[in-house]
Amino acid sequence: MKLRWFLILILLLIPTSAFSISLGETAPDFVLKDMEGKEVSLKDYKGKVVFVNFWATWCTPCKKEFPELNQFYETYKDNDLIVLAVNSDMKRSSVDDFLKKYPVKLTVLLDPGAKVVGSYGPRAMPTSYIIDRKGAVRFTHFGFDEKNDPMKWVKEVKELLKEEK
Amino acid sequence: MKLVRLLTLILIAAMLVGCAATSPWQREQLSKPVMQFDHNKEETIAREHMLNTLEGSAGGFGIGGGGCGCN
Repeated sequence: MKLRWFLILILLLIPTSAFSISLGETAPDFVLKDMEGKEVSLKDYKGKVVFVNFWATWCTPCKKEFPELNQFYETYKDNDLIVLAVNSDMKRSSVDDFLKKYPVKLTVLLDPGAKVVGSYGPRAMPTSYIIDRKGAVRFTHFGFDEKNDPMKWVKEVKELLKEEK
Repeated sequence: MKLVRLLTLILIAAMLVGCAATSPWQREQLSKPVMQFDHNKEETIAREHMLNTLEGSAGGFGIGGGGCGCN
């Protein structure tokens, strides 16, 4: 009896944010709309290396990261790399205004209810997950370190691009 | 006695549930300027200067910590 109550108390102490996707796990599939309203599914890109980035217009490090991410995408887009920037702003107009200021060529997906973000459970905003050709999460980046992250992305993506399809 | 212990445990559990953490992606509302203690710097400087002059003292404003909750 005492043990049961003790266990219930422990369970209540665990915050929901403790459950985030781990390295090696299969990335949760999702279907989201892009800026043109076209549906994009993660499983469509199996066989390619996918860089999933969760961001928001209200997040200052996300704004710093965005141009770097776009440049990174432009460099490797012809090499089987897909970059999906998943935005979780509640209002579409915020994203439209942001992209007018910072136009990019990478794919921006809209997740206004933050359901997809929640399924990945990132510990920070922005967070990037690099997914290999078989659909497993191989690298994660919490936050944005402007000095080191772009170089790390290149190294990690090159490593995954060398792997067999 | 058992009833008292049970009620105490339920009370503690109920209080803990109230301490819900905000996930990083849910902080959009918290990041808005009106949610910041110091969103208008010019007004803050003017107010602090006025209070310092009136009271003949300095400091005692603001709080420690903070951040955008992004990282």
